[in-house]
Amino acid sequence: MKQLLYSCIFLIACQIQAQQSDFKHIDFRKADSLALAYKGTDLYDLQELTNNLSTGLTTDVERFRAIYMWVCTNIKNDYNLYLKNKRKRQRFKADSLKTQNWNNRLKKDVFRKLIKDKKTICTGYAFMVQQLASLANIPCEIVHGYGKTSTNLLHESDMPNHTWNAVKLNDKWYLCDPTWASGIQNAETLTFTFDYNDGYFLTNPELFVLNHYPMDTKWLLFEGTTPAFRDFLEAPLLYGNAYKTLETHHAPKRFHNTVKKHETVSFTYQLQKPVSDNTISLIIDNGTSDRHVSPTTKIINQNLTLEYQFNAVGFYDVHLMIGEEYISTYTFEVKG
Amino acid sequence: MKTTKPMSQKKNGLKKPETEKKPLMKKNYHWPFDLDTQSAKKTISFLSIIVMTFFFSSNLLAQNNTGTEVKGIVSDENGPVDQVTITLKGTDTRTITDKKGMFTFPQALKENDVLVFSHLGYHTQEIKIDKNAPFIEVELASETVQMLGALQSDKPYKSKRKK
Repeated sequence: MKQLLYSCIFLIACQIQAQQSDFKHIDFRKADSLALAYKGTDLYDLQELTNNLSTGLTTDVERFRAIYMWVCTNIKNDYNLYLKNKRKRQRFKADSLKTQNWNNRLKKDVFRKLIKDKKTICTGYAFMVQQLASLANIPCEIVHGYGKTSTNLLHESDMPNHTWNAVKLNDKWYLCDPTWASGIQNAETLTFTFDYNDGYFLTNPELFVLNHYPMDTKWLLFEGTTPAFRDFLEAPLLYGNAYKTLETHHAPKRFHNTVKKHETVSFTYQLQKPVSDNTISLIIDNGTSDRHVSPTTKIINQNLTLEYQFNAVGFYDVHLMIGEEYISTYTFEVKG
Repeated sequence: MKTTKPMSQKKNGLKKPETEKKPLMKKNYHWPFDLDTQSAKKTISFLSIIVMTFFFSSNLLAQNNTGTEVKGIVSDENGPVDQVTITLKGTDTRTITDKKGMFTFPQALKENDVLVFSHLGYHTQEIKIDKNAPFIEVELASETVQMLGALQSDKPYKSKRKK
């Protein structure tokens, strides 16, 4: 009986690990080069685009990769439309009818702009991926929900603000976020820079949930106990770079932490690939100045553990850094 | 013998006006031109019936192969929709609607062929071809979807502090 239970747990654990590493044996270079070869193709004949992107590819995962890569490297974020939508949604927040009317008006605009200018907001990205995938006979769904970023830490009362995709490959569902994978919008210069982030392709659901929470919890792709919305709101803040280096994030479990003076805090992560430990550091910001510290670092089997002791009372923003890149942020209130 | 007969009769039929004009030259004629006109007429009409039957039946067959030309218009709740892709299910044959939402499918279609109408932002619709209704009117339902957008940001977080 116990054995059965263990094997069940093992199977569940395997289920959870639905991610890019399932396709380690597949070389995506062929799919990626197809996406590159058809760069700039217009969107008037989506079937032809899909056929072109499938040329010579034998597996669904490769065909999906080519589609996803094409969308991520050809569709720009439309910052003006994003702002307009955000403003209107905020204004009509209390009035669902007005929100609906605005949505209907916007919808037409979004699709027209997407086809004509290849510019869109998240929902357009997700739609594009879904449409091309369905033309290639790959089951793909649009997932609406909450997306958390450093400039938008969400609150309980917030409305859903983000859209991404779930895709079924070899009878298993996977998650991906074409919007965030495509690049970075600079809010000051209003420019969008294509900067493909492979970490959002078939991401480990355990990592994905730290900044993506779907309205329909089945798209968490968790077996067994699913994290609650509250857990998501309280989760640490991850940056895009986290998806390039981390497989999962273990501790601290929360963004806001309260510790006692002289308490040692552990930061634990599973890495995707080997990282040299002298590149890992923390930035501790007390509000007036920040300093780089190198905590005790242990890496065993790509399991990274950092330990840091807070020796002064105060309120700190703590950033995990790998090289020059921000991976995650936490706050610590250190009490005497 | 029976098979060669009708074929030769036909030749006779063609030459008939000539033989009537110059009856005196009959002695120069050889078989099969010396057959009597009565039986020749009979076989010719029989032959033509056969030829006609073949002609029509083959015509019918041809029509079965080519099917009917299908035209139509695609609209949504606000009017015609252009750029809708119309694909013959299971094939690569397709066309798109023009500015007025009109299309003519490039290949003639058979009964029970299925056309797939797809456009970004609308539910994909499948229509079965009915031979008796070659003009199709399709109304696409737009996807009920919320338009959302969250920006990815690489800006490091900074707590707001009370001074």
